Amino acid sequence: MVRTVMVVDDRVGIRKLLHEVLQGAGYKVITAAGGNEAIKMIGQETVDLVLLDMKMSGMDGLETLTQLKKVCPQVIIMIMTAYEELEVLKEAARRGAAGYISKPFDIEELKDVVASKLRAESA
Amino acid sequence: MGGIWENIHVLTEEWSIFMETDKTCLISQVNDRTSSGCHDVVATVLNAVEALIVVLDLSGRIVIFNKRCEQLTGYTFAEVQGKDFRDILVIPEEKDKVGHDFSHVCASQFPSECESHWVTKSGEVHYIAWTSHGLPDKNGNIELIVSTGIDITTSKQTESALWDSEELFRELFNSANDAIFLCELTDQGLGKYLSVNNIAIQKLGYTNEEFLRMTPLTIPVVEKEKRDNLAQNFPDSSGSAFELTLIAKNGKEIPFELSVQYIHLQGKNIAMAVCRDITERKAMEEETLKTSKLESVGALAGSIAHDFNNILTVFLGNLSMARMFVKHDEKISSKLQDMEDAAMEGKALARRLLTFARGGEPIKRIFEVSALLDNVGGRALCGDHVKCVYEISMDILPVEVDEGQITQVINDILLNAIDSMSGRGTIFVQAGNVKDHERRHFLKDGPYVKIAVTDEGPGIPPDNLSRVFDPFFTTKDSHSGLGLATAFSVVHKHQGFITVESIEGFGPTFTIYLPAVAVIAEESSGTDTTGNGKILVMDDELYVRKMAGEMLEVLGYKPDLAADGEEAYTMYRKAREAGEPFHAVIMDLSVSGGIGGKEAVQKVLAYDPQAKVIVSSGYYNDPVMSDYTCYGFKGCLEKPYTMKELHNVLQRLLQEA
Repeated sequence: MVRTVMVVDDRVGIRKLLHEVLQGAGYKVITAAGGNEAIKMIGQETVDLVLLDMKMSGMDGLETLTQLKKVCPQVIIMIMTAYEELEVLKEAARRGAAGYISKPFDIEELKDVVASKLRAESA
Repeated sequence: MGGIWENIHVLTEEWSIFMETDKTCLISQVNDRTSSGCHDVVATVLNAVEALIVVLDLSGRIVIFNKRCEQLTGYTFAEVQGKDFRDILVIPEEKDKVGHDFSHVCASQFPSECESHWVTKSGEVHYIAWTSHGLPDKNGNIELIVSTGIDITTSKQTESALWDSEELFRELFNSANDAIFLCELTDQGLGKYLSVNNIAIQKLGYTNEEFLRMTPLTIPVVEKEKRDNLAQNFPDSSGSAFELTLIAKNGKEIPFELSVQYIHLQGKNIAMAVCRDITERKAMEEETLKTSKLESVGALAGSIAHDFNNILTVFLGNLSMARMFVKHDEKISSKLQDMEDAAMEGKALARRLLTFARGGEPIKRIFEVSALLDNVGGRALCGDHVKCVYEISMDILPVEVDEGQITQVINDILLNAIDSMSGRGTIFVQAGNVKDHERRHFLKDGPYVKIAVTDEGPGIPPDNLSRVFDPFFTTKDSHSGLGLATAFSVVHKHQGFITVESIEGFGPTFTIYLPAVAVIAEESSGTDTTGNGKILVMDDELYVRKMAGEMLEVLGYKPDLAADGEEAYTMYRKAREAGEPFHAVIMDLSVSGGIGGKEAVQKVLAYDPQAKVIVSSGYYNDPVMSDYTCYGFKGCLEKPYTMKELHNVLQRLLQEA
């Protein structure tokens, strides 16, 4: 069964890159440019894992995380951050984030993390 | 006082004239108080004067006691006649003194003056100023003593009150915490100082006499123009507070906050300057400014690093993919590799920026300072031409710090020292407890230790001294200028402080102040093997859990191993049910393809709320590691760990009830 990954980032370059990398790894990939778009999409599609940027214009990552978990409590949400502020990470963990990955990441490392989280969830 | 004695002299002189002219009458009266002739005249004079008049024979017996004496003392002449005045009228405390004075009076030149207390019949005490004359007999020998007195009780009390009030004023003047200067204001402007208090003398080092030769316009100051303006505008400038830096006799510049008041005292116009030493306040303001400047630059650096990392993500990701697409073309692959290498350098720079921007929350553990200094890489960098001399106090307290961060700070300072000496010279590292007299105003309560690093380089020029902790400030092309800025940020996050002092021509001294742990941690030489108890180790990496198991066995514990959270939970439950429970569990935080420590601890705690679970991870920056108690863990073990660290964590945990 093809798993679906949603990429939420306000930077088009990152969305495009992750789309290509994850699609190449065999996932179905959907992208959202912000929190509102992501919430709308998660209600329409079955999503297994979300890669969510923390610092976005408009609705920020923490708020998006809360809303996504409300709509879809079982979804695995991985935080992407370019600036690991410990307080933000702690708060994200409290709101149900399953882990985080620091930018810039190695694409192979990213693929490993996504695969490992999805494996753990189905185990 | 002058007035009183003047009155007495006048009275005495009048009396003397009277005595000279009518001595015969008086003597005849003495011999026979009822004799007629001059009796009425004498009696009238004696009783009309306001002065006390008492005539005594040479043994102190009362011969005459005028009306004023009767009124003051409450005794009639009849009651005191022929009695020794010392027995009736002198207060007990003064009897000896008055007796001595009386003998002196009898033998002395007249008139003689003295003051003494008289006690009245009702017990009231009056203070009397006396003038005494000797009255000779026909042969010229002194026969009687005539004493004229004035009651000066009231004026004495006023004088005493005035003296007390002057004393009080002087006491207040000298016990003030601020320096106080008084100077006269004349038509020509501010004159010489009239008085300065003790604090002024202490702070500026001039003697009182030296001050009294100065004026507010000649006392040395740094801001001469400002001072002259204020002086010229006085008294219009009075009442307002302003800052001025005075120069002490030893050349030290001391910033003061001055408030000048215009007062009128003892008929003089006086300018009173109250000057508060604001050295500490100024230093604190500067430190606060420096900290807030670093914080704002840190925020900026963090923001740049954030954007930079996002850009690098796209850049590096696409480069990796491009390399996959063109893997058969060596020329393009090589160019792409060069680009990736450059991008990786950018990634390292962003890391450094982030380290400075937030320092990383310290994960603190208790360390001996000597152990920290042992781990500093700079020591290894000291080659043939650089020597490090360590001087560590025997009684130095341990510190609770993030080992990695603090050794990095000391290392950066040592590298800085080696650079500044051009790789040749001696570095002195001194460490000890901060003593009371060494405490700096920016330290909080509680014990501190200080680590001071001094080198033999050329020192830091004064203009650069205040900027050495500024981010990107460097005098060397090869440096990023983030080392000392990061050191400042890291030490600050440890509730510590870092300072630099340098006299040009001498090497600078960097001093790190760190909060100390008051209770000295038990320190054993070498690792003991007295461990006891069953320990469960969960790690998904085989070699890690095998290594942990071996270490535990050496330490004396009985280890069991699990590959993931689920297995660990099952083993924990079974052991407990079998009556052989584990005393502690060490769990890896992230487990690939299985339940990690964060979820597993919850399962174990749900089964046994008293379980002692330690989290272990190489991701020291993970929020679970720095805030492990919130997640239910009782301890934290940062990978890679030594046997001693493993033992210390377990011992602490197993000793807890």
